[in-house]
Amino acid sequence: MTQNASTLGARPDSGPVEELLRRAGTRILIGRMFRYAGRALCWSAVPCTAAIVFSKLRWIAPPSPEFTAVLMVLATLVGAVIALIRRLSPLEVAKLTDRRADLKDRLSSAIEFKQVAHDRDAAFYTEQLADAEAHAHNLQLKALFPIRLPWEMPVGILCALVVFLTFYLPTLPRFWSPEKKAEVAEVKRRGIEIEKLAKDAEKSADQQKLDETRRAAAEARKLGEQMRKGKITKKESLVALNKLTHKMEETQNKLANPPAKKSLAEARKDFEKALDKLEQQRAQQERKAAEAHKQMQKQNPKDVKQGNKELASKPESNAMKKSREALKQMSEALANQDKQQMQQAMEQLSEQMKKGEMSQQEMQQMQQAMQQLANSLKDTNQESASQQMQQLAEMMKSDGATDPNSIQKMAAMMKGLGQKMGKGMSPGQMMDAKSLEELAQSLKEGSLTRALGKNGSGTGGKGPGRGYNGSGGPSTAMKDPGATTPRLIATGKAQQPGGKSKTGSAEEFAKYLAMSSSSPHHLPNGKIAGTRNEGGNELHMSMTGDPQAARSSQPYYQVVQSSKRQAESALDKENIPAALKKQVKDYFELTAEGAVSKP
Amino acid sequence: MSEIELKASQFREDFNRVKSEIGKVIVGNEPIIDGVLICLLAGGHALLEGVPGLGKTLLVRTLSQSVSLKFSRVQFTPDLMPADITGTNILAESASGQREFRFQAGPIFANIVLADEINRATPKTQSAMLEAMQEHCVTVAGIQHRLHEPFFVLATQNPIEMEGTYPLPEAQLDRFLFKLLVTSPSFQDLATIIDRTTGVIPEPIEAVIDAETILQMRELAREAPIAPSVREFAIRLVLGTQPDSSHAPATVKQFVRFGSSPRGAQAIVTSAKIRALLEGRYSVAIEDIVSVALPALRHRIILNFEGQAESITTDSLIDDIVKKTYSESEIKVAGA
Repeated sequence: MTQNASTLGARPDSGPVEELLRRAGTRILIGRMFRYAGRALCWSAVPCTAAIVFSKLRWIAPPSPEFTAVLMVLATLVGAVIALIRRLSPLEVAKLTDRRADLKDRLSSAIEFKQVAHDRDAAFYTEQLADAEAHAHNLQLKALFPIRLPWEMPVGILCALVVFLTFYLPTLPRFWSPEKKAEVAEVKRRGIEIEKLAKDAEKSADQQKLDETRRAAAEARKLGEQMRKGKITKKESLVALNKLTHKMEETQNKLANPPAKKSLAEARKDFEKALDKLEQQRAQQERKAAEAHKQMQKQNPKDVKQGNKELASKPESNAMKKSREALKQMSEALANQDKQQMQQAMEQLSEQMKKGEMSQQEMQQMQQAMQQLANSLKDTNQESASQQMQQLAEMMKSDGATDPNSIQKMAAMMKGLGQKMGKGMSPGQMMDAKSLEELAQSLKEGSLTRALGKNGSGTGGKGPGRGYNGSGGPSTAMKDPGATTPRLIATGKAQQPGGKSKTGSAEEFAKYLAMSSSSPHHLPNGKIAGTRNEGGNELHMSMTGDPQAARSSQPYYQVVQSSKRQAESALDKENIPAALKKQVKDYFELTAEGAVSKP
Repeated sequence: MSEIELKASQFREDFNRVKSEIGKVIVGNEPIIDGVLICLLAGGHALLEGVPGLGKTLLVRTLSQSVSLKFSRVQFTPDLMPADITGTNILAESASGQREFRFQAGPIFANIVLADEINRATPKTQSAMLEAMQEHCVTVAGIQHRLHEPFFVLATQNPIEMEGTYPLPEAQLDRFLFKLLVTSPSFQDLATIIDRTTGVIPEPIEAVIDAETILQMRELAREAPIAPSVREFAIRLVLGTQPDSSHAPATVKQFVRFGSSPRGAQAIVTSAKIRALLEGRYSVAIEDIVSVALPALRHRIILNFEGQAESITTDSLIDDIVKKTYSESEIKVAGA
């Protein structure tokens, strides 16, 4: 049975011993992975549990659930990776297996003999390898290297479970406090309302082709859906709602003021400069005229009297004065970006022009002013008005100011131009912006029933006019407000907790307001609603005023303790910074101390 | 069954037969019997130490009877001269009537030599054994005489009687493969001894193997391979006996004056090979090294004054060395 060295050297590396060692190595690796991962999980979960316990004792701020989860998962993964990094050589595995199976170094010797090819005593080596293979064949690796969970693993899992339950259990409805349940129900209810409102708005926007409104309504619908399904908390829903309404307002502003290369403020600056220049030109012309008059006086004193008469007979017309004021008003309107004011200024200019009192020189000045205004408005969001204004200025230049028909035509054109400036937006955009504004307002105020309709004639709503307020049938605007003799009825909400409510007439309401010599900390909430009956229009004002002082039936110290408990309970449930929690805690401690010190 | 397997099997069988024959006379003391036989098969010599009456001499005599080897016994006394052991030239008359010097072989010219109470002889006489034990030959009057193979010296010494004794020098101690400590028999063993020795005459010992077989067994044992890692363990163990070595434990550094020579490592590996074959293995295991470490090293470690003053035993030091070497060579795989 002697075997030469070359045969030994060429012995395949995939014999039974190697196969066994490979399987043993895998089991060892898995065991190590469990051990390291378990250890890492344990050493990360235990501090997390301790942190939660400490936070319950209010020693530290509660840890973030995401942070603790990430920490534990990361630690477990790192542990597993570290276990995988250390690779065991076949000799190491063989030695471990020898030790476990009490094989008296049979496997490790076989591995070493294979690694070092000997050319002597080959028969002994062959026999040794055969002996090792025979022993390897009978080995039960499952018994030798059982894949057991290390003690750290259950401890780690237990701690992780505690951490998980600490965060998860309070989210289960079964463990909610009545306040929390009410809060969730409220969010759900609001979610349903928002969803309904958004669906209505979406439908309406589809019909009227209001893109922005449709988009906003879709977002609102999603938010409402989330709220209905209870996926977000009250706090989150409020934040999301706030963001949504803010976004709507921004979109609405964009629709109302489309972006332009040049702002109206810049246009105003240009226009003011142009007006100043025109003023200077006018003053220069006057000075020249005065100098010419003086020279005439020297050369021909007789003609001076006539000249004086001519000069005296041509003072600046009243129309021009008013036009100048109108131009100043236009400048202010541009500064304020007030389209109504722009319209008024243009109408004023039109009126003055229509009078036909302006001289040719004044008309020329007027033409120059219009030209400058057209130039100033170029590249702003009043581009179309600028172009029309340019045409008007050219008309004024070509036709002159002599023809009354032309003057009337130009005045009419100026008025139309003013109306255009006053509008600014297309009807569709206006509708869209208005609709968006109303939707945003409705979401913001929480009055979640919408009166739908076209161009103002809506259906539903208790209040007059168009709006989202109300849930009833159609309403119309007050037809004869001038003929109304309003009767103000102030009605307080009854059964307010903690005191009596007030119900009374307007006189009583006024008296109540007058009762407080200093300004109150808050004004009574008021809502004025109107009803129309045979006796005339009647205004109702319901207000929630300060309740009348009521005698307390509970001692103060009990109230403090009860409120303190409620506050602590609320603090535990909300994500409130530790510093603020301390502030609340300090407040109650101080209050309690005060109660004790006071007789 | 392969040739090696057959040889190994025969090896174990022969060993057990001899052991069984010795067991007919010697009760208990199995490690001592194993040790003596391992020394015989390894080609070394054994030093048996024990108080009188424990059967040391009987063991050697029984061994010589169980193997077909020439046995001689030398009772060492202070007046024993080297020539009394090695032999000497004597003036003798030949058949033709001529007178000539003729070498008269001493008791050392045997296969198994019992050097009884070796520490009672003077160092001069003790040193006469040195050449014989190491070189397997003696030189008398300039002529070298080879000893019979296998040559096996079994020396005994009494540890309690110090008066009139001459402790063996280190050089001579180093030439013994094993130093075996013969202990008192247990209760059960003593009962058996009484029964055997005070009753009917025990059955005679038969010689079960001869010199040739022993030499073949020696050759086979030397062929047994040793893995590099196991050899490293043996080396670390021997280096661990030296106080200036990094492998030495603190106790060795504190109490040892001199550690083992390379003969110690040779003794360990050779005897471990025999033990591996006896255990049915074809290569040496660390367990074999550890099991022969005590008898192979205990007489090679020389304690310093502090060690002697503290009554430190070399056995306890070897235990420390084994523990340290184990921990150093152990595969440390956390979680495995």
